[in-house]
Amino acid sequence: MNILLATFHREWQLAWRNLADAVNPVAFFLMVIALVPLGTGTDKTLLAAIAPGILWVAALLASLLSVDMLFRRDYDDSTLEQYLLLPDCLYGIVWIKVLVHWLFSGLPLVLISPLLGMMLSLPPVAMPVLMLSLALGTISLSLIGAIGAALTVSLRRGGLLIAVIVLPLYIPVLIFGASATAQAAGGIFPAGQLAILGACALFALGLSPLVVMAGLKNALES
Amino acid sequence: MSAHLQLQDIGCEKGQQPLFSGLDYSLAKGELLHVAGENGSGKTTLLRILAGVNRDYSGNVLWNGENIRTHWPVYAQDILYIGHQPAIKAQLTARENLLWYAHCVGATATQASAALSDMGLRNKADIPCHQLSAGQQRRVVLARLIFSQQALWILDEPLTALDAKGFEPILQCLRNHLQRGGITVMTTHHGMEKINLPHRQLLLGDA
Repeated sequence: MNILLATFHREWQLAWRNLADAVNPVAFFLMVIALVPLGTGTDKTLLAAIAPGILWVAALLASLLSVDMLFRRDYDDSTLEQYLLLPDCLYGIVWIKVLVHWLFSGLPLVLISPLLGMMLSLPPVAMPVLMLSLALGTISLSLIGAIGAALTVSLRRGGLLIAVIVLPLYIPVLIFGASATAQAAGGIFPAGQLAILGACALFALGLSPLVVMAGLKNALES
Repeated sequence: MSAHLQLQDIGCEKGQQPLFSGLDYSLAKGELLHVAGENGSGKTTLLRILAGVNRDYSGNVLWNGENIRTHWPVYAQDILYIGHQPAIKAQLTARENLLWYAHCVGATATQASAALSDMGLRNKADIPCHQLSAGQQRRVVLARLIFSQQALWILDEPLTALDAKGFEPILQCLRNHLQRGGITVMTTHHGMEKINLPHRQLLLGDA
Protein backbone atom coordinates (compact mmCIF):
# COMPACT_ATOMS: atom_id res chain seq x y z
CA MET A 1 0.00 0.00 0.00
CA ASN A 2 2.82 2.29 0.91
CA ILE A 3 4.41 1.69 -2.49
CA LEU A 4 1.16 2.55 -4.25
CA LEU A 5 0.75 5.79 -2.28
CA ALA A 6 4.33 6.74 -3.09
CA THR A 7 3.73 5.92 -6.75
CA PHE A 8 0.58 8.03 -6.82
CA HIS A 9 2.44 10.92 -5.24
CA ARG A 10 5.24 10.61 -7.77
CA GLU A 11 2.95 10.35 -10.79
CA TRP A 12 1.04 13.37 -9.49
CA GLN A 13 4.25 15.41 -9.20
CA LEU A 14 5.37 14.32 -12.66
CA ALA A 15 2.02 15.24 -14.17
CA TRP A 16 2.25 18.76 -12.73
CA ARG A 17 5.76 19.19 -14.04
CA ASN A 18 4.79 17.93 -17.50
CA LEU A 19 1.70 20.11 -17.60
CA ALA A 20 2.26 20.86 -21.29
CA ASP A 21 1.24 17.24 -21.98
CA ALA A 22 -2.15 17.94 -20.44
CA VAL A 23 -2.69 21.12 -22.42
CA ASN A 24 -2.44 19.35 -25.79
CA PRO A 25 -5.68 17.32 -25.67
CA VAL A 26 -7.66 20.24 -24.27
CA ALA A 27 -6.31 22.58 -26.93
CA PHE A 28 -7.15 20.02 -29.63
CA PHE A 29 -10.68 19.60 -28.28
CA LEU A 30 -11.17 23.35 -28.13
CA MET A 31 -9.83 23.97 -31.64
CA VAL A 32 -11.98 21.31 -33.29
CA ILE A 33 -15.16 22.58 -31.65
CA ALA A 34 -14.29 26.22 -32.38
CA LEU A 35 -13.72 25.42 -36.06
CA VAL A 36 -16.88 23.39 -36.67
CA PRO A 37 -19.29 26.41 -36.81
CA LEU A 38 -16.88 28.11 -39.20
CA GLY A 39 -17.18 25.12 -41.52
CA THR A 40 -20.89 24.38 -41.24
CA GLY A 41 -22.25 27.87 -40.82
CA THR A 42 -23.99 29.16 -37.71
CA ASP A 43 -27.44 27.62 -38.22
CA LYS A 44 -28.40 26.83 -34.63
CA THR A 45 -30.68 23.89 -35.35
CA LEU A 46 -28.02 22.27 -37.52
CA LEU A 47 -25.32 22.81 -34.89
CA ALA A 48 -27.53 21.50 -32.09
CA ALA A 49 -28.30 18.41 -34.17
CA ILE A 50 -24.66 17.52 -34.82
CA ALA A 51 -23.29 18.76 -31.44
CA PRO A 52 -23.41 15.41 -29.55
CA GLY A 53 -21.59 13.58 -32.31
CA ILE A 54 -18.99 16.29 -32.91
CA LEU A 55 -18.29 16.73 -29.18
CA TRP A 56 -17.83 13.01 -28.71
CA VAL A 57 -15.66 12.46 -31.78
CA ALA A 58 -13.42 15.39 -30.80
CA ALA A 59 -13.12 14.14 -27.20
CA LEU A 60 -12.28 10.65 -28.44
CA LEU A 61 -9.54 11.89 -30.77
CA ALA A 62 -8.17 14.20 -28.06
CA SER A 63 -7.96 11.22 -25.73
CA LEU A 64 -6.23 9.14 -28.41
CA LEU A 65 -3.75 11.96 -28.95
CA SER A 66 -2.53 11.93 -25.37
CA VAL A 67 -2.43 8.22 -24.65
CA ASP A 68 0.71 7.61 -26.69
CA MET A 69 2.86 9.24 -23.99
CA LEU A 70 1.46 7.11 -21.16
CA PHE A 71 4.38 4.68 -20.87
CA ARG A 72 6.81 6.25 -23.33
CA ARG A 73 8.95 8.15 -20.80
CA ASP A 74 9.02 5.24 -18.37
CA TYR A 75 10.23 3.05 -21.20
CA ASP A 76 12.87 5.52 -22.36
CA ASP A 77 14.40 6.09 -18.93
CA SER A 78 13.95 2.37 -18.05
CA THR A 79 11.74 3.08 -15.05
CA LEU A 80 9.50 0.41 -16.56
CA GLU A 81 12.06 -2.27 -15.64
CA GLN A 82 11.91 -1.09 -12.05
CA TYR A 83 8.09 -1.33 -12.07
CA LEU A 84 8.40 -4.91 -13.25
CA LEU A 85 10.54 -5.70 -10.22
CA LEU A 86 7.54 -4.85 -8.00
CA PRO A 87 5.33 -7.73 -9.17
CA ASP A 88 2.88 -7.51 -6.27
CA CYS A 89 2.24 -3.85 -6.99
CA LEU A 90 2.36 -3.87 -10.77
CA TYR A 91 -1.41 -4.02 -11.20
CA GLY A 92 -1.80 -1.07 -8.83
CA ILE A 93 0.99 0.89 -10.47
CA VAL A 94 -0.60 0.53 -13.91
CA TRP A 95 -3.95 1.51 -12.45
CA ILE A 96 -2.47 4.60 -10.80
CA LYS A 97 -0.62 5.64 -13.93
CA VAL A 98 -3.80 5.48 -16.02
CA LEU A 99 -5.84 7.19 -13.30
CA VAL A 100 -3.43 10.13 -13.03
CA HIS A 101 -3.25 10.28 -16.80
CA TRP A 102 -7.04 10.53 -16.90
CA LEU A 103 -7.09 13.24 -14.22
CA PHE A 104 -4.81 15.35 -16.39
CA SER A 105 -6.10 14.50 -19.88
CA GLY A 106 -9.66 13.20 -19.56
CA LEU A 107 -11.03 15.27 -16.70
CA PRO A 108 -10.13 18.64 -18.29
CA LEU A 109 -12.15 17.60 -21.36
CA VAL A 110 -15.12 16.84 -19.11
CA LEU A 111 -14.80 20.17 -17.33
CA ILE A 112 -14.71 22.36 -20.44
CA SER A 113 -17.33 20.35 -22.34
CA PRO A 114 -20.34 22.50 -21.21
CA LEU A 115 -18.63 25.58 -22.61
CA LEU A 116 -18.00 23.84 -25.90
CA GLY A 117 -21.55 22.47 -25.84
CA MET A 118 -22.79 26.05 -25.63
CA MET A 119 -20.64 27.02 -28.59
CA LEU A 120 -22.49 24.34 -30.57
CA SER A 121 -25.93 25.41 -29.27
CA LEU A 122 -26.43 22.20 -27.35
CA PRO A 123 -29.53 22.71 -25.12
CA PRO A 124 -28.51 23.47 -21.50
CA VAL A 125 -30.66 20.58 -20.30
CA ALA A 126 -28.21 18.17 -21.96
CA MET A 127 -25.10 19.53 -20.20
CA PRO A 128 -25.18 17.33 -17.07
CA VAL A 129 -25.57 14.22 -19.20
CA LEU A 130 -22.84 15.41 -21.56
CA MET A 131 -20.44 15.78 -18.64
CA LEU A 132 -21.43 12.52 -16.99
CA SER A 133 -21.23 10.52 -20.21
CA LEU A 134 -17.85 12.08 -21.06
CA ALA A 135 -16.54 11.36 -17.56
CA LEU A 136 -17.51 7.69 -17.76
CA GLY A 137 -16.47 7.48 -21.40
CA THR A 138 -13.05 9.08 -21.09
CA ILE A 139 -12.16 6.75 -18.21
CA SER A 140 -12.88 3.83 -20.54
CA LEU A 141 -10.98 5.52 -23.37
CA SER A 142 -7.91 6.08 -21.18
CA LEU A 143 -7.94 2.49 -19.97
CA ILE A 144 -8.42 1.06 -23.46
CA GLY A 145 -5.82 3.45 -24.84
CA ALA A 146 -3.37 2.22 -22.20
CA ILE A 147 -3.53 -1.23 -23.81
CA GLY A 148 -2.50 0.25 -27.14
CA ALA A 149 0.21 2.30 -25.46
CA ALA A 150 1.64 -0.76 -23.70
CA LEU A 151 1.63 -2.84 -26.88
CA THR A 152 3.43 -0.19 -28.94
CA VAL A 153 5.76 1.29 -26.32
CA SER A 154 8.83 -0.53 -27.63
CA LEU A 155 8.25 0.69 -31.18
CA ARG A 156 9.91 3.94 -32.14
CA ARG A 157 6.96 5.17 -34.20
CA GLY A 158 3.89 3.56 -32.74
CA GLY A 159 1.57 6.54 -33.18
CA LEU A 160 -0.55 5.23 -36.02
CA LEU A 161 -0.44 1.64 -34.78
CA ILE A 162 -2.02 2.70 -31.49
CA ALA A 163 -4.93 4.19 -33.43
CA VAL A 164 -5.39 0.97 -35.42
CA ILE A 165 -5.36 -1.18 -32.28
CA VAL A 166 -7.48 1.05 -30.12
CA LEU A 167 -10.07 2.70 -32.39
CA PRO A 168 -12.23 -0.41 -32.90
CA LEU A 169 -12.44 -0.73 -29.11
CA TYR A 170 -13.32 2.96 -28.79
CA ILE A 171 -16.34 2.66 -31.07
CA PRO A 172 -18.88 1.22 -28.57
CA VAL A 173 -18.00 3.99 -26.12
CA LEU A 174 -18.47 6.57 -28.87
CA ILE A 175 -21.83 5.16 -29.94
CA PHE A 176 -23.32 5.03 -26.46
CA GLY A 177 -21.78 8.34 -25.38
CA ALA A 178 -23.03 10.29 -28.38
CA SER A 179 -26.42 8.64 -28.23
CA ALA A 180 -26.77 9.44 -24.52
CA THR A 181 -26.00 13.10 -25.18
CA ALA A 182 -28.34 13.30 -28.15
CA GLN A 183 -31.19 11.72 -26.20
CA ALA A 184 -30.62 14.13 -23.29
CA ALA A 185 -30.78 17.03 -25.75
CA GLY A 186 -34.23 15.74 -26.74
CA GLY A 187 -35.32 15.94 -23.12
CA ILE A 188 -35.25 12.22 -22.25
CA PHE A 189 -32.92 10.95 -19.54
CA PRO A 190 -30.71 8.29 -21.18
CA ALA A 191 -30.53 5.87 -18.26
CA GLY A 192 -29.76 2.86 -20.43
CA GLN A 193 -26.84 4.41 -22.32
CA LEU A 194 -25.33 5.81 -19.12
CA ALA A 195 -25.62 2.40 -17.47
CA ILE A 196 -23.78 0.81 -20.37
CA LEU A 197 -21.08 3.50 -20.28
CA GLY A 198 -20.69 2.85 -16.54
CA ALA A 199 -20.46 -0.87 -17.15
CA CYS A 200 -17.81 -0.29 -19.84
CA ALA A 201 -15.81 1.86 -17.43
CA LEU A 202 -15.99 -0.74 -14.64
CA PHE A 203 -15.11 -3.54 -17.02
CA ALA A 204 -12.09 -1.59 -18.30
CA LEU A 205 -11.06 -0.61 -14.75
CA GLY A 206 -10.82 -4.25 -13.79
CA LEU A 207 -9.43 -5.89 -16.89
CA SER A 208 -7.38 -3.33 -18.78
CA PRO A 209 -4.47 -3.29 -16.26
CA LEU A 210 -4.06 -7.05 -16.73
CA VAL A 211 -3.66 -6.67 -20.48
CA VAL A 212 -1.40 -3.65 -20.01
CA MET A 213 0.84 -5.64 -17.61
CA ALA A 214 1.22 -8.41 -20.16
CA GLY A 215 1.98 -5.86 -22.88
CA LEU A 216 4.62 -4.10 -20.80
CA LYS A 217 6.34 -7.37 -19.85
CA ASN A 218 6.41 -8.29 -23.50
CA ALA A 219 7.82 -4.90 -24.49
CA LEU A 220 10.82 -5.35 -22.21
CA GLU A 221 11.77 -8.74 -23.59
CA SER A 222 14.04 -7.57 -26.34
CA MET B 1 20.66 -13.88 4.72
CA SER B 2 20.38 -16.97 2.60
CA ALA B 3 21.70 -16.41 -0.86
CA HIS B 4 22.58 -18.82 -3.60
CA LEU B 5 22.37 -18.09 -7.28
CA GLN B 6 22.72 -20.79 -9.87
CA LEU B 7 22.73 -20.54 -13.65
CA GLN B 8 21.87 -23.74 -15.49
CA ASP B 9 22.62 -23.98 -19.19
CA ILE B 10 21.59 -20.38 -19.91
CA GLY B 11 21.40 -19.47 -23.57
CA CYS B 12 20.05 -16.48 -25.41
CA GLU B 13 19.66 -15.47 -29.04
CA LYS B 14 19.53 -12.06 -30.58
CA GLY B 15 17.77 -12.11 -33.92
CA GLN B 16 18.92 -15.47 -35.29
CA GLN B 17 22.44 -15.24 -33.84
CA PRO B 18 23.21 -17.07 -30.61
CA LEU B 19 24.55 -14.50 -28.14
CA PHE B 20 25.74 -17.04 -25.61
CA SER B 21 24.78 -20.59 -24.75
CA GLY B 22 25.38 -23.28 -22.18
CA LEU B 23 26.29 -20.94 -19.34
CA ASP B 24 26.61 -22.81 -16.05
CA TYR B 25 27.61 -20.90 -12.99
CA SER B 26 27.06 -20.94 -9.29
CA LEU B 27 27.44 -18.11 -6.80
CA ALA B 28 27.32 -18.51 -3.03
CA LYS B 29 26.82 -15.87 -0.34
CA GLY B 30 29.40 -13.14 -0.15
CA GLU B 31 30.59 -13.56 -3.73
CA LEU B 32 31.17 -10.85 -6.31
CA LEU B 33 30.92 -11.78 -9.97
CA HIS B 34 32.35 -9.58 -12.68
CA VAL B 35 30.69 -10.26 -16.03
CA ALA B 36 33.24 -9.30 -18.67
CA GLY B 37 33.35 -9.37 -22.44
CA GLU B 38 33.55 -7.21 -25.52
CA ASN B 39 30.86 -4.76 -26.56
CA GLY B 40 27.88 -6.73 -27.80
CA SER B 41 28.93 -9.97 -26.14
CA GLY B 42 25.70 -10.07 -24.14
CA LYS B 43 26.68 -8.66 -20.74
CA THR B 44 23.63 -6.45 -20.43
CA THR B 45 21.41 -9.21 -21.82
CA LEU B 46 22.69 -11.66 -19.20
CA LEU B 47 22.12 -9.13 -16.42
CA ARG B 48 18.60 -8.45 -17.69
CA ILE B 49 17.95 -12.19 -17.65
CA LEU B 50 19.18 -12.41 -14.06
CA ALA B 51 17.00 -9.42 -13.16
CA GLY B 52 13.99 -11.26 -14.57
CA VAL B 53 13.25 -8.44 -17.00
CA ASN B 54 14.20 -10.48 -20.05
CA ARG B 55 12.44 -13.85 -20.02
CA ASP B 56 13.29 -14.82 -23.56
CA TYR B 57 16.08 -17.30 -22.76
CA SER B 58 16.70 -21.03 -22.49
CA GLY B 59 17.88 -22.80 -19.36
CA ASN B 60 17.10 -22.00 -15.75
CA VAL B 61 18.13 -19.46 -13.16
CA LEU B 62 17.79 -20.82 -9.63
CA TRP B 63 17.66 -18.58 -6.57
CA ASN B 64 18.02 -20.50 -3.31
CA GLY B 65 17.12 -23.60 -5.29
CA GLU B 66 13.88 -22.20 -6.75
CA ASN B 67 13.40 -21.38 -10.41
CA ILE B 68 12.96 -17.62 -10.79
CA ARG B 69 10.33 -18.11 -13.51
CA THR B 70 8.01 -19.87 -11.10
CA HIS B 71 9.02 -18.05 -7.89
CA TRP B 72 9.17 -14.63 -9.45
CA PRO B 73 7.46 -12.51 -6.74
CA VAL B 74 9.76 -13.92 -4.04
CA TYR B 75 12.84 -13.45 -6.18
CA ALA B 76 11.86 -9.92 -7.22
CA GLN B 77 11.85 -8.86 -3.56
CA ASP B 78 15.36 -10.18 -3.10
CA ILE B 79 17.05 -8.34 -5.93
CA LEU B 80 18.15 -4.83 -6.60
CA TYR B 81 18.70 -4.13 -10.28
CA ILE B 82 20.35 -1.00 -11.55
CA GLY B 83 20.34 -1.01 -15.32
CA HIS B 84 22.39 0.69 -17.94
CA GLN B 85 20.14 3.72 -17.89
CA PRO B 86 19.69 5.68 -14.66
CA ALA B 87 15.92 5.02 -14.22
CA ILE B 88 15.42 8.41 -12.61
CA LYS B 89 12.93 11.07 -13.59
CA ALA B 90 14.60 14.17 -15.00
CA GLN B 91 11.76 16.45 -13.86
CA LEU B 92 11.94 15.30 -10.25
CA THR B 93 14.60 16.29 -7.75
CA ALA B 94 17.22 13.86 -6.46
CA ARG B 95 15.33 13.61 -3.17
CA GLU B 96 11.97 12.92 -4.81
CA ASN B 97 13.51 10.27 -7.04
CA LEU B 98 15.23 8.51 -4.19
CA LEU B 99 12.22 8.72 -1.89
CA TRP B 100 10.19 6.59 -4.25
CA TYR B 101 12.87 3.93 -4.33
CA ALA B 102 13.11 4.13 -0.54
CA HIS B 103 9.35 3.58 -0.18
CA CYS B 104 9.56 0.61 -2.53
CA VAL B 105 11.99 -1.22 -0.24
CA GLY B 106 10.43 -0.02 3.02
CA ALA B 107 13.16 2.46 3.90
CA THR B 108 12.34 5.79 5.53
CA ALA B 109 12.68 9.36 4.28
CA THR B 110 15.46 9.90 6.84
CA GLN B 111 17.41 7.01 5.37
CA ALA B 112 16.96 8.44 1.89
CA SER B 113 18.24 11.86 3.00
CA ALA B 114 21.20 10.28 4.74
CA ALA B 115 22.00 8.30 1.60
CA LEU B 116 22.02 11.49 -0.46
CA SER B 117 24.39 13.12 2.01
CA ASP B 118 26.65 10.08 1.91
CA MET B 119 26.81 10.41 -1.84
CA GLY B 120 27.81 14.06 -1.52
CA LEU B 121 24.50 15.38 -2.85
CA ARG B 122 23.31 17.23 0.24
CA ASN B 123 23.32 20.59 -1.56
CA LYS B 124 21.94 19.20 -4.79
CA ALA B 125 19.10 17.19 -3.28
CA ASP B 126 16.35 19.64 -4.22
CA ILE B 127 17.39 20.48 -7.75
CA PRO B 128 15.59 18.79 -10.66
CA CYS B 129 17.72 15.94 -11.95
CA HIS B 130 17.92 17.30 -15.50
CA GLN B 131 20.08 20.07 -14.08
CA LEU B 132 22.53 17.59 -12.59
CA SER B 133 25.56 16.26 -14.45
CA ALA B 134 25.72 12.66 -15.65
CA GLY B 135 27.98 11.76 -12.74
CA GLN B 136 25.66 13.36 -10.22
CA GLN B 137 22.69 11.53 -11.70
CA ARG B 138 24.64 8.32 -11.38
CA ARG B 139 25.21 9.14 -7.72
CA VAL B 140 21.47 9.57 -7.20
CA VAL B 141 20.84 6.12 -8.65
CA LEU B 142 23.61 4.47 -6.67
CA ALA B 143 22.40 6.01 -3.42
CA ARG B 144 19.81 3.21 -3.53
CA LEU B 145 22.59 0.80 -2.60
CA ILE B 146 23.06 2.52 0.74
CA PHE B 147 19.67 1.55 2.20
CA SER B 148 19.19 -1.63 0.18
CA GLN B 149 18.49 -4.80 2.17
CA GLN B 150 18.23 -7.02 -0.89
CA ALA B 151 20.43 -10.09 -1.06
CA LEU B 152 21.31 -9.95 -4.75
CA TRP B 153 22.59 -6.83 -6.43
CA ILE B 154 22.67 -6.75 -10.22
CA LEU B 155 24.58 -3.71 -11.39
CA ASP B 156 25.06 -2.86 -15.06
CA GLU B 157 28.01 -0.48 -15.48
CA PRO B 158 27.40 1.21 -12.12
CA LEU B 159 30.64 3.19 -12.27
CA THR B 160 29.98 5.00 -15.55
CA ALA B 161 30.58 8.75 -15.20
CA LEU B 162 31.39 8.36 -11.52
CA ASP B 163 34.43 10.18 -10.12
CA ALA B 164 36.73 9.03 -7.33
CA LYS B 165 34.77 10.86 -4.66
CA GLY B 166 31.49 9.24 -5.68
CA PHE B 167 33.21 5.90 -6.00
CA GLU B 168 34.35 5.70 -2.37
CA PRO B 169 30.93 5.30 -0.66
CA ILE B 170 29.89 2.78 -3.33
CA LEU B 171 32.94 0.67 -2.64
CA GLN B 172 32.11 0.79 1.06
CA CYS B 173 28.55 -0.29 0.30
CA LEU B 174 29.72 -3.19 -1.83
CA ARG B 175 32.12 -4.33 0.87
CA ASN B 176 29.39 -4.24 3.53
CA HIS B 177 26.96 -6.01 1.27
CA LEU B 178 29.37 -8.87 0.58
CA GLN B 179 30.27 -9.12 4.26
CA ARG B 180 26.58 -9.41 5.16
CA GLY B 181 26.47 -12.43 2.83
CA GLY B 182 24.98 -10.70 -0.18
CA ILE B 183 25.80 -11.53 -3.78
CA THR B 184 26.70 -9.00 -6.44
CA VAL B 185 26.77 -9.48 -10.19
CA MET B 186 28.15 -6.52 -12.09
CA THR B 187 29.67 -5.36 -15.33
CA THR B 188 32.23 -2.63 -15.69
CA HIS B 189 34.70 -1.62 -18.37
CA HIS B 190 37.14 -0.03 -16.03
CA GLY B 191 37.67 -0.11 -12.36
CA MET B 192 37.63 -3.78 -11.41
CA GLU B 193 41.21 -3.05 -10.28
CA LYS B 194 39.92 0.02 -8.48
CA ILE B 195 37.26 -2.01 -6.71
CA ASN B 196 40.00 -4.25 -5.42
CA LEU B 197 37.70 -6.81 -3.84
CA PRO B 198 38.05 -10.56 -4.28
CA HIS B 199 35.89 -11.50 -7.21
CA ARG B 200 35.29 -14.09 -9.90
CA GLN B 201 35.06 -13.33 -13.55
CA LEU B 202 32.68 -14.64 -16.20
CA LEU B 203 34.03 -13.91 -19.67
CA LEU B 204 31.37 -13.77 -22.37
CA GLY B 205 31.91 -13.96 -26.10
CA ASP B 206 35.39 -15.42 -26.35
CA ALA B 207 34.61 -18.92 -25.11
